[in-house]
Amino acid sequence: MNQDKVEIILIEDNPDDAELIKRVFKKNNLSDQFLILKDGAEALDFFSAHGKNLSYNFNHHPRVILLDLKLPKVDGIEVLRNIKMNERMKSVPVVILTSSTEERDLKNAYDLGVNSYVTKPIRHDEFASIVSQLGSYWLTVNRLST
Amino acid sequence: MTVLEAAPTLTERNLRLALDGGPTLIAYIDTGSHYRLVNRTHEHWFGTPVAMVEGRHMREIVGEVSWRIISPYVERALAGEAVDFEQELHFSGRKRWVRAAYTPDRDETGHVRGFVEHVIDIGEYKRAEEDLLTGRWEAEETQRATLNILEDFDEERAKLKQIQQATMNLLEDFDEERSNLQEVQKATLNLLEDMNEERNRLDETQRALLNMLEDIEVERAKAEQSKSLLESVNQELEAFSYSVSHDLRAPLRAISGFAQAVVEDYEPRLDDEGKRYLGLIQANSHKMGQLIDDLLAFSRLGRQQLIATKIDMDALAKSVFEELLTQSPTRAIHFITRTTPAAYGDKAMIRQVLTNLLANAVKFTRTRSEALIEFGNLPDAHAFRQDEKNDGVIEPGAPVAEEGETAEPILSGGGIYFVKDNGVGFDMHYVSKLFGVFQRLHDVTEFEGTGVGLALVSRIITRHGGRVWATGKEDQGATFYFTLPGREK
Repeated sequence: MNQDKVEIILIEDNPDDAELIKRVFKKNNLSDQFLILKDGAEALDFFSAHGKNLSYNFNHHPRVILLDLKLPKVDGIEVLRNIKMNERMKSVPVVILTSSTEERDLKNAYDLGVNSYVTKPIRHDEFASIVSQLGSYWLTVNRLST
Repeated sequence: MTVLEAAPTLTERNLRLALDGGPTLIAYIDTGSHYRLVNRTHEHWFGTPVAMVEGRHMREIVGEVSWRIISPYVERALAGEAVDFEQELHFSGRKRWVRAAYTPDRDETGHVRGFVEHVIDIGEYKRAEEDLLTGRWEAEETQRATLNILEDFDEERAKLKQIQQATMNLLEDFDEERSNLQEVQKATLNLLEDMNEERNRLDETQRALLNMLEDIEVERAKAEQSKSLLESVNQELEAFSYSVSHDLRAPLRAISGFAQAVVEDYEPRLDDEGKRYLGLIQANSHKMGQLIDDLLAFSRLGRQQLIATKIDMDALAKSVFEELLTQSPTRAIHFITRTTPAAYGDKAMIRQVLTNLLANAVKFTRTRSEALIEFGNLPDAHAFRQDEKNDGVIEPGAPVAEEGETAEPILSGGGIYFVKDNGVGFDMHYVSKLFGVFQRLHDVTEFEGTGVGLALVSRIITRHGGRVWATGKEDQGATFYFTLPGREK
């Protein structure tokens, strides 16, 4: 994938969820420019300037980062903390897309400066509706800092 | 004179020598007691020349005092007796102890013509004798003194004895004192012993207390352990719930999502039966999602902190009912709320209780053309029993949880709240299953639900220290009762 064209970074360990999200985006003619990171460690490595993804062009920022909370190795909250402390990445909107409705998670996320917190509904029709809404909002409505 | 005759050669001079040669006073006295012959020693003793002594009477020479002493001896000598005597005589101004021997001189016919006197000075001997005597006396004195001393000593001894006696007496007294003291001591010892016993008892009590404390400590440790176990169990439960909420939903979402994808992308190729199956997949995914959500709510309740405030119960019931009514706007429901006393509890949780109970009432009166739902309070056990009497349906003595449990009016100040409906009711035979998790008494096709609602109610009321039970009859409605603390604990 051409990383210069990446519009959405999806940090999601569940390939089914990742596929369903991508399908909703595609169905709604939003974007198919996804970069998928499968766990917290991979995410930290990616955002680290000293990581193996030095080829990534940080001058071209994605429009949104969709972050799951329950991730293998390093959890989503830690990834969020890392992003918000990273000078080059902290201005990229982070949307937590998770199954967790735990108040503790919501508080932690907002304390760390998350831009949005969305719970994945079980019903697919609801899920599709929500994913489509947030896709259109962050990709088309929201303005980014240049 | 034999001697003179035998030695005719001896002259008068020789005789003189013999007379005057020694310390002995020699004299010849005639029958008239006159000196006829004296030697030189006589002259020495009396200081009178020999020539002036011869021919003179003895009395004149020796003095009157001495004469009185010696005259008896003189007479005896002149009477023809040889006399030997010792006397202390006084003459020439001095005393002189003398030993004298008078030897009578007889003529051829045996008549005494005079006597020869031999006198020696025995002063020395006398003095020696005297000294001896003195010495003896002194010795005697010493002896006497010794005896006296001994006597004194005896006295002393007697005194000593007395003292000893006194001492003994004293000692005896002291003995008494000692025995007294001993008694006192014994008493003290007894006291000490008693005290010791007391102390032992105290020690035992202390030990018992310590054991108790130890036991308490052990119990506390156990409790602490239980608590920490409970905490760890709670943590595990939390982790479990978290896991459930995340991990159980994800596959459901996939099932639902891909079923939907099939419907969307492959609808033209599916017949009605295929579409129906996909619909069932989605409906069951949805139902399972609901079960998970309810289960999570139920488990979260155990961990949730209870914040008790005063709750206006009938106002809360009204508010809940109005909210429920918006979900069934077409229903004709007659809702009666009576004024109830305030309760103390966690408002959010009690709201959940009223929501679940009233929602059930709304749901199970669905078949009624006119639904009747009542929220009220029975102020005390008496009123409760009256209510029981007036309404045969209500069986308050059978709390739902345990069958056979005796009626026990549970009053905690707030009285007994109830939610009563005229719905489908239930068979009291199954009352024990009413509050169990996932327990349902109705066909799911008739009345939807997961079977968690009443379990949640029971759990919340129990956590508040209240009790919950229900009465009902098939097709004749149901009443749910619960108690709450009427004041702050």
